[in-house]
Amino acid sequence: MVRNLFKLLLPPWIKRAMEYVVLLKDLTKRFGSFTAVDRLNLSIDRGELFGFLGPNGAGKTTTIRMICGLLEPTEGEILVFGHRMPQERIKVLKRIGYMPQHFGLYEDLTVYENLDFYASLYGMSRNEKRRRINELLDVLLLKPYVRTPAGKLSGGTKKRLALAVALIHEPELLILDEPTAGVDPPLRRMFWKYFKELNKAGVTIIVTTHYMDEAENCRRLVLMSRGKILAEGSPLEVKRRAFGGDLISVRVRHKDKHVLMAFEEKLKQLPGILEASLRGLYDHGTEYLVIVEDASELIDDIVRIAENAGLEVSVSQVQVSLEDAFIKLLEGEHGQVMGDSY
Amino acid sequence: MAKLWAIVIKEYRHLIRDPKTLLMIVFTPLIVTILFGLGYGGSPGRVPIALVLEDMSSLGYRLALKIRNVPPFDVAYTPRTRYEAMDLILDGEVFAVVIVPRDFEEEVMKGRGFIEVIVDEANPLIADLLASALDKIAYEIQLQVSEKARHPVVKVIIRTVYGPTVSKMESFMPLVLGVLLHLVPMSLISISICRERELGTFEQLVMTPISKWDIIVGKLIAYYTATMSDLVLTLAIAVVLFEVRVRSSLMDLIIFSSAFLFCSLSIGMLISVLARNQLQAQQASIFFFIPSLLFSGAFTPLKMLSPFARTMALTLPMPYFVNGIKALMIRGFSLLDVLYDLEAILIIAMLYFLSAIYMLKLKL
Ligand SMILES: Nc1ncnc2c1ncn2[C@@H]1O[C@H](COP(=O)(O)OP(=O)(O)OP(=O)(O)O)[C@@H](O)[C@H]1O
Ligand SMILES: [Mg+2]
Repeated sequence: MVRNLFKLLLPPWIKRAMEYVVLLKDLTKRFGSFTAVDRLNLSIDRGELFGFLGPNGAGKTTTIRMICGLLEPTEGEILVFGHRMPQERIKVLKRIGYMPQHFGLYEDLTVYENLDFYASLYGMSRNEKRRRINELLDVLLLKPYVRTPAGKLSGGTKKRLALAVALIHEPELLILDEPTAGVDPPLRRMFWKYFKELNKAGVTIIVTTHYMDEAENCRRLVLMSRGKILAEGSPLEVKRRAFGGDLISVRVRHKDKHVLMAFEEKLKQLPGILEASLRGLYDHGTEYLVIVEDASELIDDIVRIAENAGLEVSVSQVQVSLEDAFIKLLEGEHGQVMGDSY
Repeated sequence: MAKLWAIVIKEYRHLIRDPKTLLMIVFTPLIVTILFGLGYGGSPGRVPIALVLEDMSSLGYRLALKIRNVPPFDVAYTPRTRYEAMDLILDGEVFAVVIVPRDFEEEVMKGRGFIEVIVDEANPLIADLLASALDKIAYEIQLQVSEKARHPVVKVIIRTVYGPTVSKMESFMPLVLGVLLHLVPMSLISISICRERELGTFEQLVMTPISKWDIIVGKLIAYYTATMSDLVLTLAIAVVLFEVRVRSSLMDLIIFSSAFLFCSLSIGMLISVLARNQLQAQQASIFFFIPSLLFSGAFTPLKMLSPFARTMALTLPMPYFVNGIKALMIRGFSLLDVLYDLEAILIIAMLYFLSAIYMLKLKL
């Protein structure tokens, strides 16, 4: 009662903060003099499918562990469901499902015994336990391994078991640290299909991964390197940020050098064009690489000016992968000179 | 409560499925008790002696019969002459020779009877033992003769409450029990938490809404019941194989030992909470065990230790346990008589138990 009343009186920005599932403020973790996580600011909304990307040692696991309240931050603040971590972690543990990067279940216990043990720790009744365990065994195709000691399972099956344990108590927030590392492609696809289903059903999911193709599935992601966030947003936004906008390839067949130069002039003056550069020659033609704010608005304009100039033209948007964006951003961070990218 | 139970069951499964722990729980008491029993189990007739009977009188025979029945000695040879007997000592066949001299009975009647004993100088302990045994026999013979001759006699009636009638194995039982109920449980449980940290299972465990009490009490219950078998096993071997007697009530002994077991487990638990890895934990428990053993009071009475060692011994549970077990098993006292020791053990146990709970951090 008092608590709710108190909530009503709070200023709106704090109320908003309470709606966030996770809120990180200047989060920093140092191991000795080494800074693993460097002043991270981030918020994750309810219902998001949020990805952490980054090379080895970027600080993903360290960040996730701090969100779980397993590690104490050196500086900064963590709110999970509005509760300070790790001080108030006991209040939110029941709402979090966690799958660590390394297999953390008992290898001498069978699949069923592991599930049963964790179900008991969440205070589930006997019937509840049986129902939930059978459900998970079915969904994650673990039925054949019920009596197998966890240590004897293959890598992919271990990951499925770990996921089952993370889900045993039907958490609102699912935190997965590299759930698909060392998992074969069909199973990876199955995992992601399942994550999306869960997400649709209202589970907030935080996931780390090295696989860029998977990351496209995230609604929002951050790219981390050396403890810092390099880019943040939807996969599309991250790609745009990496290159400064959408990439369009413009190919024209030229007969006359002057016509071509006039076209190039006009192209550069077109509003919305951020950068246009000669990319190279291809059989009897020339290709330009154009960076624009939004490709969908400008493709028609480009076609128009080319046709006005009497050129044969083909315009297409370059499909950039997250991997390209990732590498571009990392190179930018390392201050290297771009090679022959697009 | 359900959570606690889940932990207990899980710990049992670990214990049962790990052949190393099973081996440690079952074989350590087996081996230690049997070794002690073989080494110190004073089964009669162990020390070979030779008996030379030069006097063929009835008193001579009676004496010879008595000598044959003195517990630690075994009349291995009965040579005809003392010279043959001497050779047996020199050859190392026997440790001593007892000679009943010619005209023994007559000389006794004249009041000048004597028995000759030749002992191997290299074994003064045996010489002492034999001398005191023969003193007793001589006294009995004297008594019989005097009674027959109606001489006035002063009888000494020796009632042994404990002491001479306690076999050597019995006097070592407090130490055997102390060693087994200290080292085995302590080193077993000392790896239980740091092993989870090392294997990475702790990371998943502490993400559940489990309390420190659940983890520690659950593990203690599992290890307590498992290592209780060490007490049962040790006692069973000692009683069956080495004729050790438990003079107090068995219940008192079990309650007292339980308290000590709880104490050993709590110490091991604190070690496990503090240790970084399994190796460190094992070393720490052995490190803790050494002063416990040295200052247990089983080798040297505590009063004879240096003031430093005596103070240290006060903080260790082992001396209290050895003291209490002596009172229970050997003197046949009851639990009420060892309340002081019991309390001391429980206080020490609680200190370690609470420290373990306080120090355990549900973090990486
Ligand atoms: N307990 C620790 N003590 C010291 N350094 C640590 C510790 N944990 C992590 N680090 C360091 O912090 C950095 C970040 O590690 P972290 O595990 O968070 O990276 P990651 O992004 O998860 O990498 P990966 O993709 O390899 O899992 C690494 O350089 C690591 O060596
Ligand atoms: Mg990691």
